[in-house]
Amino acid sequence: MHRREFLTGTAKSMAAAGLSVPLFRLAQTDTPTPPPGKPVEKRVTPEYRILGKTGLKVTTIGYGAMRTRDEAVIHRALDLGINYIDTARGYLDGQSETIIGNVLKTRRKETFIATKFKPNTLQNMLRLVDDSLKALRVDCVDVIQAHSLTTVESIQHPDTMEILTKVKKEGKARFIGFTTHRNQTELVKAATPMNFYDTILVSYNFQSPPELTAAIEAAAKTGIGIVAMKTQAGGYADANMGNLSPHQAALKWVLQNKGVTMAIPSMVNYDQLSEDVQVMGSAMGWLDRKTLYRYGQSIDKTYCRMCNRCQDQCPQGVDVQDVNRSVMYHEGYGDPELAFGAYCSIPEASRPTPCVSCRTCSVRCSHGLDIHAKMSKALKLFA
Amino acid sequence: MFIAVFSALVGISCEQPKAGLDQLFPGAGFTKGWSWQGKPKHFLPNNLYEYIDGEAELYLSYNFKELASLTYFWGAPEDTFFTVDIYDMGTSENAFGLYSSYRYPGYQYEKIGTEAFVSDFGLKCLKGQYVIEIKSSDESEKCRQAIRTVVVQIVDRITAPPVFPSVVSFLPESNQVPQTLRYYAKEMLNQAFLPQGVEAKYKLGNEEATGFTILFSDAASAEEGLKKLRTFYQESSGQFLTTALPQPIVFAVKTQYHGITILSVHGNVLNGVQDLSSPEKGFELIRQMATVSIPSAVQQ
Repeated sequence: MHRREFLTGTAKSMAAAGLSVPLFRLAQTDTPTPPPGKPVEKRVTPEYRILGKTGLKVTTIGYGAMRTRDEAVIHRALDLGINYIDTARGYLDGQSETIIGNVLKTRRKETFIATKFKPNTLQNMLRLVDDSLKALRVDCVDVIQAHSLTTVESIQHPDTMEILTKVKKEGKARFIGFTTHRNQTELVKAATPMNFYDTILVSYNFQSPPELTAAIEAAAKTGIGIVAMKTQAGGYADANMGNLSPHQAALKWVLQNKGVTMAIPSMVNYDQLSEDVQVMGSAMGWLDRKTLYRYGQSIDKTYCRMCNRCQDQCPQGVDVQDVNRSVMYHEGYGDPELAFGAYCSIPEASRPTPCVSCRTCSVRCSHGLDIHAKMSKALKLFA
Repeated sequence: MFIAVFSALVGISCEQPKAGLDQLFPGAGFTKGWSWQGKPKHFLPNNLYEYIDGEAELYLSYNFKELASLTYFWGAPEDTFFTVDIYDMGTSENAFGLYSSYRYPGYQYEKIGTEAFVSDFGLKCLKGQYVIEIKSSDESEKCRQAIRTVVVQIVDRITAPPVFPSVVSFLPESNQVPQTLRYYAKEMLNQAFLPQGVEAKYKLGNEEATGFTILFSDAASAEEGLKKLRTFYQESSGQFLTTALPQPIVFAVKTQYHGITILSVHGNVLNGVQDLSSPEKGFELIRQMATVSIPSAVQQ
């Protein structure tokens, strides 16, 4: 079933059941009566919040442009009232900014633009910013961000701070921020008292720990504008969802945190665009909660995510991640030969032989994988 | 154990593992002075974003399977180095789809593997089901030479032939702008209801237009897709033109952001040209598209 069909169908069936309280409200739509011969175009009433102390009045749904290869979709997003586009120097090897630049040629005044650069040498970072401005065809972006920072040291790095300060002072960016999708809680907490960053783009969704929610709220209270990404907690588990579409619910969950100014889902097709903008002004309802619960259950917990957080946890020196990878080749890819080869490439001292005699596994997987079961599986398959 | 029996039957032992991604990396002695440390890092669909951030979604849309990443260095690890990423995309079509997403006519192209190009962001190379990306912030000749040596050695280890997948032949070559052909594994024309297809830029007289072919599973699906496209154009302020259209063109519509678009359908295939200033400019291209023979299914 198509997402839009599901959403419309559900609303109708709920009304038929006599449930007058909207379970999830679509944002108010204006459907003007068209002149004869002119087709109807649905419009959405945008919802705005202020991006921290920047004062920028932005729509609660912004446009994540990382995968967009067609200007027409961006134009459509702006037509629907979205007024914030997020990109990065590195997206599509620079082509993302070029595509957006083509749109900004005629629509700069309608939108705020945020871009990013990866920390590098001072000279390279300056060059990256200038390259961004050139590709975007602007003299100044609204937000410039240090891209993908993962440690407290990186947000406090003198070179990064120097470049951001310089770029702001020279009028190449109005506001400065950083982006992160690892160690988010730690970084948001560390950035809060610095009184340096105007915005933080942070990976945040319904599976995030409560500590991150608290850190976001605290940061927002000091005036840092919080923008959320990775709101779908993976997004690849849709196949297990049956007729339920979790995307709107996931966005609403994020936006119910008033510390979050906006979310910037990636939008590649018109349906995604339509689905996402409808979230603006919609409150979270019980069907949304139920949908998210099922979504959370359906996200596959049986495969190792290769995050390497289990490294060095085993006192016997078992290479948990590589053993898991071997098992994944067998179970996930259905390739026993490749699985066996991967297992053989693990040094003997790092194979799970000691697991036979370990009563209690001391390795704790941060994603809930039963490590002992996986190691036992590997022994059964390959030993 | 199944594996043990299987291994015995085919003569596989721990001394002769099947070549996974790790086997594609040249060893420490690949060229004098360069070495590597540790072993390749691996990333799967679940955690690819930890390595390439939001861009992971593009790779996932092409059914990304696995990435192995290794850094080679000269001297100490923090000195001159470059990082080699080998992406297993599962099929040559998906590998081409990913690779073509980054192609741009202005880049420097080389015949390494099936094809390779160099841009400000590094080197990208295509062969078989693999896309190889090499990045370095060092622009020295020493580093460039090493990168070239590594990528040549990697493609030599990939046994697939160095040819583009059949999808590149789904659009006419005549007047096609080089390196603009792209394969989409799904959602052609940014529409969730459309399946896979290819598009390319064409030089038609003094203007440039986009030709595309969309591959459905059968004729009925193609007709359904055409109907939904017509509805989309209607709902997004498209103006259907009353110009006389030659066969096989079904309709011509003036769209908001893609100029004039003309469409035709043949069995399970929907052909079109967009970004036209007038329908007539696309007639010849549509006629040529109708003569291209396309199989009923493309591996994914």
